[in-house]
Amino acid sequence: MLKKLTVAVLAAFSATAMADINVGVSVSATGPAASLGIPEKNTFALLPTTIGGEKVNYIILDDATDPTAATKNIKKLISENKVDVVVGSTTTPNSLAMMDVAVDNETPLISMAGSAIVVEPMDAKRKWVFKTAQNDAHMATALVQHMTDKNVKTVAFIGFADAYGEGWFKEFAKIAEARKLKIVASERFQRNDTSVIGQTLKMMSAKPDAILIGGAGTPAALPQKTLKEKGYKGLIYQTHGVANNDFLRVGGKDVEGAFLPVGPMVVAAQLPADNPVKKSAMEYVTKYEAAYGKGSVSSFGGHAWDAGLLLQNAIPQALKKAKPGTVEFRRALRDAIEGTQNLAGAHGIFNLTANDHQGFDQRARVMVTIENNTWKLIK
Amino acid sequence: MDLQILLLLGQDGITNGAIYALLALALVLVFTVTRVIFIPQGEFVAFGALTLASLQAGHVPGTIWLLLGLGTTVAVLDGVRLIGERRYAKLPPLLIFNIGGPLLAAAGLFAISPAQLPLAVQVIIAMLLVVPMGPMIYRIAFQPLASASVLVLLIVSVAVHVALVGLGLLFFGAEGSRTPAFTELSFELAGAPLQGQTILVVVASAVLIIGLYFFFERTLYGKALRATAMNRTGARLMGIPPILAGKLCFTLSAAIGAFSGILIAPITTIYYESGFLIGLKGFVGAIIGGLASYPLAALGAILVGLLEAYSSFYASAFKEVIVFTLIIPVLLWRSLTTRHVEDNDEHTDEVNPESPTAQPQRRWLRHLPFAAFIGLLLVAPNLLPEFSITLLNYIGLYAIVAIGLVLLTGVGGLTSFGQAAFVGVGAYTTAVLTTTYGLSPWLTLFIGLAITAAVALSLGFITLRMGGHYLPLGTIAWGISLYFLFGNLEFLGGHTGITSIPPVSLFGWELKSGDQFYYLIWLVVLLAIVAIRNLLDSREGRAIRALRGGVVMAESMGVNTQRTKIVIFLIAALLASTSGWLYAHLQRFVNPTPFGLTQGIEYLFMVVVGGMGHVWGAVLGAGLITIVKQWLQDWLPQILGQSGNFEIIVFGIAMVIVLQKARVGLWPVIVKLLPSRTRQRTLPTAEMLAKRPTAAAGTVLLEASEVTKRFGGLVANNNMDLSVRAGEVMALIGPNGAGKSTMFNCISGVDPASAGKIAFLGESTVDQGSRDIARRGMSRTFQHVRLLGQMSVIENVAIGAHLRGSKGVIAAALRLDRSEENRLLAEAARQIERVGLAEHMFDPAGSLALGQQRIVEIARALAADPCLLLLDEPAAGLRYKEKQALAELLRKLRAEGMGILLVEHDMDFVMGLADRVVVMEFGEKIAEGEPEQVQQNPKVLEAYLGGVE
Repeated sequence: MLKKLTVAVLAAFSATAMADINVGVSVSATGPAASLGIPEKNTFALLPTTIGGEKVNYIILDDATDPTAATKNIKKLISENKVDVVVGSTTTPNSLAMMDVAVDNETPLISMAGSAIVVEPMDAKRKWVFKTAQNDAHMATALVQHMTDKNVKTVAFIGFADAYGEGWFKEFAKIAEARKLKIVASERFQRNDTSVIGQTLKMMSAKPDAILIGGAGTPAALPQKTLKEKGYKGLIYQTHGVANNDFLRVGGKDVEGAFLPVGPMVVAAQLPADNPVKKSAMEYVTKYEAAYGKGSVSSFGGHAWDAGLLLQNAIPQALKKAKPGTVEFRRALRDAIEGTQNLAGAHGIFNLTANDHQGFDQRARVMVTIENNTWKLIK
Repeated sequence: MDLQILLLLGQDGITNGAIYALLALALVLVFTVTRVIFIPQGEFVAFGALTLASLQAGHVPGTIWLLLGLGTTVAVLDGVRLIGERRYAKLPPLLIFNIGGPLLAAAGLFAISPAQLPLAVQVIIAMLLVVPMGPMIYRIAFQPLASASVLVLLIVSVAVHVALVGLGLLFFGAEGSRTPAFTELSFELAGAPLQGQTILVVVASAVLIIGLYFFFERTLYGKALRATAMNRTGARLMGIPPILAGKLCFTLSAAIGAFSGILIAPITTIYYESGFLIGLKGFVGAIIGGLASYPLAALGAILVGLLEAYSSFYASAFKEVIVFTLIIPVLLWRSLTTRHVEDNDEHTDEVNPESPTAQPQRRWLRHLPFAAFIGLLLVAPNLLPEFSITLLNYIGLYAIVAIGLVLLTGVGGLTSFGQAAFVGVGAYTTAVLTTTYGLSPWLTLFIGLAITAAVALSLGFITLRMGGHYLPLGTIAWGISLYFLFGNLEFLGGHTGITSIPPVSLFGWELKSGDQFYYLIWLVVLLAIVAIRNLLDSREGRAIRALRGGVVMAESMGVNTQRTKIVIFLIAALLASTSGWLYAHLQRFVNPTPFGLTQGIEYLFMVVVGGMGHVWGAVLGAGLITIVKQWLQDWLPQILGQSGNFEIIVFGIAMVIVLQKARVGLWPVIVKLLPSRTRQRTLPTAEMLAKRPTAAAGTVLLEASEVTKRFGGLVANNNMDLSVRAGEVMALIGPNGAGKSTMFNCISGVDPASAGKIAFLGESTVDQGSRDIARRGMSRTFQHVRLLGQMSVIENVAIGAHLRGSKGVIAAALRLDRSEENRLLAEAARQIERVGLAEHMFDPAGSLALGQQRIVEIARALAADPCLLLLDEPAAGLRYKEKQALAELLRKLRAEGMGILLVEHDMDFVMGLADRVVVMEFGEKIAEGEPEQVQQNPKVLEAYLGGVE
């Protein structure tokens, strides 16, 4: 009974044409990382459906921010949909969970997660894993640079009690220490906490010159609002995770003056004309907003777009070597992605090497501040 | 420490605590009136706040569609009933209220721009949109289950919560909202600014609490609710319909929730899933108050708020762990101060654990389906596509946990939402020890089991002594705190998790791929099934199944119910831990997500859907939920063209329907489709069990003197004296309400006497429980029959022989108990034959006539080989011939030297049988002597002739 049901149900799924290029996608469109995953998911609808003259199918699955579901998804994509490459997932734990399956099946995996541990240190496994989002370290370096420029000596950190906050704290602490910045407090809060007064008072009692809030989306507004309310006068830094319109809506005037590093696409229109990223970033922003409304674009969707660009660049090369649907094609595709040079994406310029599967340099982030309830590029 | 900071933290704690207090009050109200532990309380908070935020942003809030949907459902449900009853006049108000109102509201919201309205009007609209959902949810989800057990109601409540959270994401999106403050005032407190809105929250909560106090004290509806909370049956007799009371308290609860949300929306950001944690913290407060007292609940909630504020200052990463761990010492304290074991009699649950003796006659035929299943499992990897094997792996992992839950919830009647946390203990133990310390996975399996056992035993010790609903609540709390603990401990890999867990190797063969692991997983599943089935079909198994019949009967038969509960909790935890070990090595990656409360809830759903009382139901449920979830995840977004947690909504709703329409789950439905099975008729032949040495006739067995029993101010027994000797029938008679059964309970230790001496076989029983008394040779029957209706007669009777066997759980699971088991069953069969019910031996006990059930109880008592038999109205409901046979049996027992104490109303029966008679009236002895003497006694004549009889 159960068996029959399994067979019947599964038979319904496995109807994908074999000759096309199949791109499997697993994003966290629901669950705690939904605000990151939804724009990513939306972006796949904007990607080209033919590359190098071959039809491309995008098979998009939701992993609900759950690593077990992400693993199930990649297993399904590989065994049922015979995908040539997998893009995903949104979060670091989910990407890590998918990694083993990708390697076992020799299928390239392009993650959109932030933490560098997805592609570092390079080893036999990570050979198959790429990453389009800036490493947290990229962002943290820009941030620490800005802090030292502003003569900040002591800094307090408050971050999500999850993989995002944890990843940011680790990277930030490493770089801050190297730059002689003293971290005087490190606090955590839950995304849906109703109050962060305790943490705020703790940080303020350490009298830091600056406070870094390691959160994503609207929940990152609460600490800043509380800091304003309790009369904190120092500098406030946010991370690139807040760069969406909902954050500005909820934060209102209380988040004015916050500094944060972002991918250049967030302020694409303000970039100087000679910025190498401007054109490619504008293209994404224009397309996304045409499809989903003005002001709807967020930096996370850009990582999905960049994954699309990596594929558009690599697939034609791989097609010369093998046919889609074969392990030879997947190997060729992996090699081609690794060989990506000077590719302008929405977030930066990709220059991948055998040891660097992320490939961005300092052009992949800019510092912005919040002014008049919008992102303002700091020249 | 800075005084100013202390003050500010206190202020923060009180602000949050005030909201928790409001919710705690609503939770206590709902629980006392309807027995529903209302987990979705928090969703009203989120819905209230987000609906207001939507209105202010100029959107039409999604809640209007939910209101319309709920209203239509109510209208359909009630409309069908009204039409059936031809009460057409009631239809228009029903339709107007449930459909017309929401439609009008929707039209109004589209016509005018709600963003332009003044704040007060927006608040009123938001309340009007959210509050009616309270009574509607009651009508749809809970009203049809009014007589169900607290546990069933709790599961429904969780299902409603899950569906509402899914809808919340759909309506309001993943990002949060905030509303403008009601007041922009700001004050100085101890040199720091204090927002007017914060004061408003505290003041409004206080005003609301006082308002509720007056509502309960002064208004008719309030008094009606209070009356219902105190005594449901009494309230019904007083003319307060329980449905009205239910709707009323759900309305209040929704109003309190929505209002709380509107109050805090200006000082914090509210998300679609914010409500759960807020509600749960209110809950912790309510539990501290014992779910009964309003002031204690409010105080507890404020304590939670304060604790949260201070721990967010001192150890912010461990805040949730601290808050939710607080429940544990509170429960421990309560369990240590509650001396008496509560008897959570819940005979209303028609979940029928399978009856292992009802199996096909021939051995090979009996094992055919199982063998076929194994065969299918063996060939599956060769036949099925690769991904189905992946799914089967997960199904197997879930099934292992679910099998434990079947034992715990379906058979034992205990509920745990914390199984996922036990899975986590197993998974994390092996992940850490194999990656960091390089230990062998086979070693870490046992280390994980040992850690799990330690946790389960201590948790079980704390929560299992309490009434039925403390275990689920305790496990919710423990599930949450363990989840956050996993995430915040550096050596456990934090929230990011642990990678590169080595694969399991077996004789040098690495189980790397899913196909290879598949065999290991399903081997464990099959072993678990066999072991649990063996266990259920044994002495200990009957003791476990007896738990559902209430603690009183099981204890009287010598079952250590406390120990039995801990044992099944332990088994369920160990199975979960094993599943976690498998998970870690299959996935080769762990992080806290799969061990959170959501997964814990899903395990319970699997068991409910599959069939709580059946081991195979666990496998069915795990398979069904996994496959359907996969299917819904793939297809619902495509059908609806939008991403969202649709499968969660569908699950929640499906769960409510399953619990309302098919509480036994799907497995029994499938079994019914199969050809009916012939029942085992052969009885084991085995040597007799050892018998107790009989006392010489005339020895005093029982000596009770000056026994007094008080219930509060009511004296049920006063200075009662009574003795029973070996080889005599002593009858205790008296009009209804004279206190005879109370006396029985004092003697048998079910409900110990308040004062006086009772000696059994020369030893005082004052400090002994019914279990110890039973062990020493006293056995009894009950005035209200306490049999397990779904179990066969022979199994019921075999429970009586519990103390005459000694084989434990492990022996039962491994089938090392068969010779003892055969002797126990043979003894049970002998006693059934003795009382003349041999032809009903294998019938379910519930299918017998009431009189016959009383006789089964006598057989059960006799199976204990007692020297003193206590019979509470054994002849009630018997026909003349049967009474004669019973009297004959009792005479024979007397001749064998047994002492019999009899409570009976049938005077002919008593007078023809008893050697001595004691007459009671109003709790006191009024006469004692031989039957003829007593019959002449003027006091007795007056008591009977002047009394009600």
